[in-house]
Amino acid sequence: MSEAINKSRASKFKQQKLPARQPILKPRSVIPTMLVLGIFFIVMGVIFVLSVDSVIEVSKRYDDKCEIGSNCTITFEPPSDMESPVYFYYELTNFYQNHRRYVKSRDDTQLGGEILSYEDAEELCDPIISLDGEEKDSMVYQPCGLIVWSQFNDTLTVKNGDEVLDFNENGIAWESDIESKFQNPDPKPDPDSPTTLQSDFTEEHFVIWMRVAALPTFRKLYAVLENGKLEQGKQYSVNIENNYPVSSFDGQKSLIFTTTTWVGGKNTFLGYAYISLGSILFLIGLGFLLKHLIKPRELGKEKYLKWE
Amino acid sequence: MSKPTEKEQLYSRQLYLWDQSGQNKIESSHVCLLNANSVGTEILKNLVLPGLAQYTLIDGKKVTTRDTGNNFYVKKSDIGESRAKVTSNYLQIHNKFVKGNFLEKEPAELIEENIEYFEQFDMIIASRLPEVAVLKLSKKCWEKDIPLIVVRTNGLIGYLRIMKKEHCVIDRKEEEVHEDLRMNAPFEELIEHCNSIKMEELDDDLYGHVPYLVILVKLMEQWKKDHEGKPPKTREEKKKFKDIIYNMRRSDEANFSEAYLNAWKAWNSYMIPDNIDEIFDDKNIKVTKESSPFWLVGAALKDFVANEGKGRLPVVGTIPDMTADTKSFITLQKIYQKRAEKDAICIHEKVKKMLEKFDRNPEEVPLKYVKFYCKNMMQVWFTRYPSIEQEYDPETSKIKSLESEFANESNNHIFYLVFRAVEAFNKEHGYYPGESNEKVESDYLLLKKEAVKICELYKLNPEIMTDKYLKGFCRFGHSELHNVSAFMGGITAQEVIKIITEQRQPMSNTFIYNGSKLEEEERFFEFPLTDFEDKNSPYPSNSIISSHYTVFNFIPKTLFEQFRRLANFYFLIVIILEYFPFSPLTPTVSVVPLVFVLSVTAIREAYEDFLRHRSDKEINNRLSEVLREGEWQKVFWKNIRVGDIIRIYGKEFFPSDIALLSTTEPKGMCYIDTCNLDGETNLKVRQALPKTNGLNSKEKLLNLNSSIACELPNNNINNFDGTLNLTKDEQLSLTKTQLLLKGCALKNTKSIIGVVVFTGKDTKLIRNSKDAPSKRSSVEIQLNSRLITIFLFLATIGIVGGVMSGVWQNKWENKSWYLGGKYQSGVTSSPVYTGFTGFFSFIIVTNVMIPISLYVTLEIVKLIQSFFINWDKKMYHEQTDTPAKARTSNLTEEIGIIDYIFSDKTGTLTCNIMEFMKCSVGGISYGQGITEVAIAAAKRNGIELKDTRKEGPAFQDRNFLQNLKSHETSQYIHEFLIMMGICHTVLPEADEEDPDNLDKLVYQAASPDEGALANAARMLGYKFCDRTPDTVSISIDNKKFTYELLNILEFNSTRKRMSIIVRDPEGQIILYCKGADNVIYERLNPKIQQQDNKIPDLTLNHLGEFASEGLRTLCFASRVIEEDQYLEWNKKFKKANTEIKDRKNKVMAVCEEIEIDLNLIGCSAIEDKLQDGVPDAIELLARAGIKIWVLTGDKQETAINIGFACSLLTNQMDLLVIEGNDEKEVYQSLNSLNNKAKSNAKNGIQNALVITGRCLTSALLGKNKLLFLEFGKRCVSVICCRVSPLQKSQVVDLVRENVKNSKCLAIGDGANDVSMIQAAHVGVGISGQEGLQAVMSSDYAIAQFKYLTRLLLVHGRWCYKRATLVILYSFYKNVAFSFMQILFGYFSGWSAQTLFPAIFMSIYNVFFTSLPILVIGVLDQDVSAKSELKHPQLYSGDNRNNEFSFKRFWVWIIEGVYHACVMFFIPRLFCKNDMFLGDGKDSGFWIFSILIYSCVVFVVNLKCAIETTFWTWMHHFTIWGSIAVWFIIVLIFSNSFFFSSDLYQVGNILFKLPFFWLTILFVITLCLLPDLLIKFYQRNYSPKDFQIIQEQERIEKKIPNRFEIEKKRSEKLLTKKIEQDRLLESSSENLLQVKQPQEEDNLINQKNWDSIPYKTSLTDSSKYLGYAFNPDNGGSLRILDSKKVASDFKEESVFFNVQNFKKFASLNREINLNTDTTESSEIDEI
Repeated sequence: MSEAINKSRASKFKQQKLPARQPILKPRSVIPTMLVLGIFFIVMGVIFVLSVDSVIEVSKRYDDKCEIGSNCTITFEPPSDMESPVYFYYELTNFYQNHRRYVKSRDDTQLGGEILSYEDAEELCDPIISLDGEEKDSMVYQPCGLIVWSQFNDTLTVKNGDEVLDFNENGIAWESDIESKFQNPDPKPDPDSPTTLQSDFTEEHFVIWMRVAALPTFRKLYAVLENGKLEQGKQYSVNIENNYPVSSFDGQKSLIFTTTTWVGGKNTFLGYAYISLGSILFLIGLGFLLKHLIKPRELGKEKYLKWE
Repeated sequence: MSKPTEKEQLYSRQLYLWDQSGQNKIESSHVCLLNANSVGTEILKNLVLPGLAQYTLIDGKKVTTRDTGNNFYVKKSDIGESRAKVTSNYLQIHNKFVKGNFLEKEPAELIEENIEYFEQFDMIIASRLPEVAVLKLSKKCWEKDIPLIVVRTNGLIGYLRIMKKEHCVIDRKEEEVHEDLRMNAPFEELIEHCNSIKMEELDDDLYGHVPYLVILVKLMEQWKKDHEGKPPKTREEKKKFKDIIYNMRRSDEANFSEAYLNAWKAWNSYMIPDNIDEIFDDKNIKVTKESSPFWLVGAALKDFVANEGKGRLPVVGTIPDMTADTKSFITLQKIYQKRAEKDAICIHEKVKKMLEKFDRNPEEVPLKYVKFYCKNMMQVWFTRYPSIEQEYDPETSKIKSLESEFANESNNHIFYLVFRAVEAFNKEHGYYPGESNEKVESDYLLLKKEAVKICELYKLNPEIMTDKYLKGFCRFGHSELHNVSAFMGGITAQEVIKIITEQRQPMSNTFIYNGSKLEEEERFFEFPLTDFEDKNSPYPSNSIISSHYTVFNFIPKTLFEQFRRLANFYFLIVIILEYFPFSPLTPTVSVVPLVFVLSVTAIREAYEDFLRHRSDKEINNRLSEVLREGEWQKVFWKNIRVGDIIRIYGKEFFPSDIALLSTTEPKGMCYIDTCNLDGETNLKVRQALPKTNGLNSKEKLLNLNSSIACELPNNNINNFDGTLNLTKDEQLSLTKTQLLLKGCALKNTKSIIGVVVFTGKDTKLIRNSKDAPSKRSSVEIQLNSRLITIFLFLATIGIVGGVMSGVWQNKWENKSWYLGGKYQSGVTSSPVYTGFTGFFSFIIVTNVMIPISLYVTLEIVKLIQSFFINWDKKMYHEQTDTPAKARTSNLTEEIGIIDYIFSDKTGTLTCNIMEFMKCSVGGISYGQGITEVAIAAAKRNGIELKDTRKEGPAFQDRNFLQNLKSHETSQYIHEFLIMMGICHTVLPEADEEDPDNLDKLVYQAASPDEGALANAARMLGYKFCDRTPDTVSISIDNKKFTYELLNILEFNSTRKRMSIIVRDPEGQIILYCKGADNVIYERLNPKIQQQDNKIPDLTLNHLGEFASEGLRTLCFASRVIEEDQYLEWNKKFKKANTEIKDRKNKVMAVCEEIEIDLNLIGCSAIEDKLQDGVPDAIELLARAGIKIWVLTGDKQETAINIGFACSLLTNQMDLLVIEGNDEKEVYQSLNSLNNKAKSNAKNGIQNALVITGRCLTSALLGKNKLLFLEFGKRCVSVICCRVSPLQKSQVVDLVRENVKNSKCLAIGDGANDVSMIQAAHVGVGISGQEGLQAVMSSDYAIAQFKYLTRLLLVHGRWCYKRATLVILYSFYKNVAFSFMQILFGYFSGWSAQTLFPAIFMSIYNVFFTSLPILVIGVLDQDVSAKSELKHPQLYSGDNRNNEFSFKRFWVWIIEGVYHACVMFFIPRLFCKNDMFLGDGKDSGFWIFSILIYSCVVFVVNLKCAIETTFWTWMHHFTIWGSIAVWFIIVLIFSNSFFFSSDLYQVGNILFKLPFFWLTILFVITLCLLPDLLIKFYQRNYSPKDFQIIQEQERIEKKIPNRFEIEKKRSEKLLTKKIEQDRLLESSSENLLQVKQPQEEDNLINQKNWDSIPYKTSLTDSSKYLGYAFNPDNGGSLRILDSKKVASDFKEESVFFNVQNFKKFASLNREINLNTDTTESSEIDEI
């Protein structure tokens, strides 16, 4: 009997004797790690700063220079040569694409090419459901929902003098989106019908707009200059068909021309954050090192026990 | 003597009660009765019969049919006649001496019209008189001082109120009155008389008849002369005085015994009795012109005491009976009478003077009255009643003070208020509530109003007036019931007579009778049954239902139970909220986890209940043979009914409680096994009554016409009182000897027949099984308060979110056209509405902050912890095959923070294996052994003692058997051995193979002491061999002597003794009695004691010695009883045994009568051995900072010695013993000792407290309680001896409730520890000798006390740390996760958009973060078990209560908030321009979301990683696994539309980016860096104790001391080897021998193992490997390859120096000892 019990309990787990490592934060391992990690962070930070430094970004606000409904032209001068690819973005501020009502007001199946019944639309696209709020399947907006309805509709053309630059407006959206997420329904929606909000579901500006932004200030890619470059000192102009109203909610519209590196656009924060954290690590590491050298504590000595 | 008159004959009986003076008063009084209703006439009847002078009956009503139903004094033919007239006429018939008047008028009207009419009566009784009239009448009566009694009845309730200003009683007719004989201050006449008697000159006869009073007075005079006029004061002096009396005896005179006994009266100080004191202090003692004789005499008496009496009351004048010759008695009596007369006259003079002063007739108070007063002085008494106005007036009324009584349902006080309400109702409406049947309901409402008014009037809580009472009263409808009237009539008449006769004490104020509270007091049924299907049976069915649910109620009932848990309910609310349209999350997100949690619990419940159902069904469908319809039929247990005649066969269980009728064994015996019931494994005997034992055939049974009356079902398994009426005339008593209880099994018996007495839930088994009180650990309680904090935090977030969303909407909603506000269906929401829904939305979004998984995780963790306890090999007791058992998983963390241990002694600290060790017989002490306690005691005094006993029995003394053969005390020894052999209740169980061998009999003893005695007697040649109900046999020198067993007077804790009465083989009746010393000594024959018998004194000395050695003592005494004396006593004994009610006490009283005049034979001393390892364990626990209180039923000396033996007490401690007899003395003792303890503490001396049960009773009272506690807290150890089970729990409660945050653990093994175990926070039961009750009620069961150290220090500490970590971490991870929602709220227009996809919100706690913490909660060990036991200080040091403090809780919460901020803002800043994807494409919301979520998964899991210090493969697997699972799940989502199109491709794109990894790295570093730095700094610059220990462990590990390993490994083998060799050891050669190892030892290359002589191995040990063995001291050594060793371990090679051989050998032994606790498998992991 007892033998059996002993056997049944013999497992190391049951006796809480699983082999284990018990790492201890000892100065000998912690201080060097901190110093090394600090240096690594500083180095990384410097690399970031340098990479970001090579990015050239031009930003021009235009909503304050244009009347809504009119055409106007904004000019800009690159501070230095901008090698292709040069990305052309529009930026909106104070625009809450991430508002709960906004985010959910869309129907992905409809965007994927299916014809939507009124009931489904009502559930998903509120409040932009059907024309004049009629509860008929045929009157459902194509596609429905707030995001579609509030699509950005300024037209931007970049020119060098009178020459229209070769900014490509295709291939700017996620490939996966165009390939699988967005499909035109069959038949394609009639562009003239008042229920049609977007006649081509795979139109890339539209697809980009549909990918909602995370924060109230956001950029969306408008076009890419794949060949050639924007030269320093040259005056470039952007022709704007200014349709999109933003003043009511204190929003701003800007044009952005930028190049990128492996870490993205002109974001210096990343590099400086790394450098500062690295420095802090290094300094504290040094402090600990000093303290350890001057007044080290012996490990595991009985005299430190409170009851000794 | 003249012939008694007719009157005297008529009243002769009552004259005994109130004598002629009382009768005269009755015969001269005129009583008036208002209303001749049922109760009124009953009262009057009871007054007419004893002979009232005259009565006047006032009633204006006519007789109705209603009257004929409840009034005996009207007949149907009288209907319509005047009620007054009719009843008066009938009443008249009872007694012709009484003059009856009647007046046909409504009393109320009469009161209104002519109140003066009532002045003529001596007393007025108002029966059911309306309140208004009562008030008016009472005013008049008060004025004229006429006693008025008001009686009301309504249905089953009666009310009685006496109204009288003041009632003085001189003749209270009390039975026991202590009279002052003035012995302590004799008056002159007495002294004179005493002096006149010259004792020395008297002849022997007269000398023996001098009244003790005289003796005492004379002696006291003499004493005072010798002691400066002072009486004896100190104990010694008193003893001296008594000794003088004792020595004055010429032979054994009775008067001297009386003097001896009453000696105290001579020095007792004088006190004025309380009743007189009260009179002296009363305001009326200041006499005035109107004062009554009572007060006049009272005042005179006071004056007398102040002057003539010199502080004393007058002499009473009677003396009690005493041993004296008639002449001297009468002389003495006369002296007292004379003196009394003198005093009385003196007082009378004073009274006269007073009367003259007031111009009253000086003879108004006759001398006779004064004398009577003085004679009855000790009884005079008075009472005052408040007037009814005073009572009704809320200003003066004391009704408010009774509020709690009114509210107490078990009291009847409430009916007073109901009666008041009913009268108020009558006043208001003119009729009584419910008088007409149709209006009962409406009247109830009106009555309720009145009741509330009454309550308001007296400021009472109107809720006390429950509908139950009011409705009841309405239903009674003011009816009279005759039996209630009769009862109330009797009571009232009795009070009237008390008042008229002025004798005895009338009740004060109001009396309420409740006739509805009648309870069944006895169970009565007939058998055999005739109707087997009686549906209306009053008894419960015999089916057992232990299940909680049925198929139908399971779902609602479990749901109800589950939602009673706060957290579950919270989630239910959240889910309901999620169904609202404003909810940002769909309900499924929360439903899934809740359903999971609920179904896990529900499935567990269902399974457990299924098992219960199954076992219920199995039990209920068992079959037993029952006599039905004239045949033995197999009947399901569930169908067995009370009164069934049942037959049970051997080894079967009893289906219900059965009264035994007959058995197949001789003399109606049968044996039962009660293991299931009380855990005792010894068989017990039950015996049928001889009269019923013949009832063994169907025919006989069927012809019975019998019944049983027995007690009601109760839970006392050791008692049963019943009467079996076999025929109408033959009554037999049933006791527990005839009761077979459900749950027990029949053993060693073929079959029995019995009658079912209790079934189903009435059985004692079920009555005894109660659920243990459910205990919750303090962590769990704290957890609830933390949850509330979190909830408040959550609510704050909700409020902030709500307010902000309102504000945002107000400002931006209309401007932000793209949100389509104006197109929204329904009403455009207002900001307030948005704020309102925003609040709930944010609550929903952050609801995970209250972790639903916490409960599940915690329960799993705790369950596994309790498994660990069950599995622990080191808490497994091999000898008894008992592992430790955690009977609950609730308290695992509680055992990590224990402050106090309350331990039982016997069976807990000691083994409870009793061995007869010593004895004292005939004044000579025998037995040589020395107990461990004695050794420890000697050690204290610096003496080393050794037990000189040889192997063998514990009792060894050659002299004993020699003296038995030839010594003057040999007869004593013989008797002593006979007693050991027969005076017990032991059952012999024959060995199956060798049934005739007496030495192989197994003695089944209920108490281990008895078994030890019987075994010892057998060893000494007095072999107990057989027991039948009527005989016990004992074999001495192979000759069998049979004693006829006449009676067994059983042991119980009150009696503290057991006796048997036997007729010895010579025919003499002898009583043998054994018991506790004090009990036996009280009952010793005083005559023998007074002779030159030194045995009692010598034995008393020996008793003291034995006790000081820690032995348990029993005194043995015997007595020869005369035949006729026995027969007379036996009759009483039998009668007492057939009583149904209070049998126990009656039997005890009868036993008391025979257990007197005993002769002391000697005493036995039994050793109770200390358990293994107890001293070490106690020392460890003490070092762990736990205070240990020992609570034992043993004697003080025994307890103190055990205390020393188990190192609870040490010589350095100051032993403080509390003494005192009452509350006051104990207080003083406590106070002074406490101060001493304080000063001791200052001087660094430890204190130990010792208190006995008697003092403890006082110490737990009033202000002593806290003082005692304070004192106890100041002491290192506390020992309470002689305590009862109740006191044990009281002490536990005292500490538990008064010491803040203290955690108490109680440990014990016996039924007497159950209360303590249940009272403590944690109860530990030791599965020991005394059955399983303690274990059954405990939370943890262990086999030995020593395992407690491991349970607390190892498991407890770990569990506490683990559980708190699990809880804190769970809070943290959920705070970190949900707090980001509110941060994101700022950036998303406060719209409560979730930052993460909904599905990820619900699986956060399931997939990504649950397992690591679970593993840590199960496995984490900060230091190893070994270190915990080595440094018990760790237990209290960092551990206690800090782990889960509010501070620590907030640190974790704030860390969660910090992490949330870092994890949100860093990605936000990094992703600022949405273009980090590298190819210029924008990232969007979902990339951002997954990026942050990835940070969370990393940070939260790595936080887990830095919290654990104990990395096993499981940690790695779960921590890295959880992170991996995150990536896998995201990738699945990214590659399929199935779950969400939002996440399509997100993972594929994101995880490839260097930017992603850089962000993660940065966030992790920034989050965990502060944490790590603080941890590092703290560890290095203010290290905690456990961290130092960790480092030590580390250092030990780091230097892999292979030599140590080898040494240990070899030791392990060696220990085995030594054992083997010990067995082989035969030569006493004192040489070292090298022995060949066995095969299993082939660890290292072996060389030549031929036997090598000692010398060779000495000189050339380098060549050899192997063992050396030293038979001298048992040490041994394995010699390793010394060259190799020497090169590897230079220092250690010293061991191989031969000179050190011996040293190492002894060292080796020590190590062996050590490894006992730490065990050898430790080696494996090094």
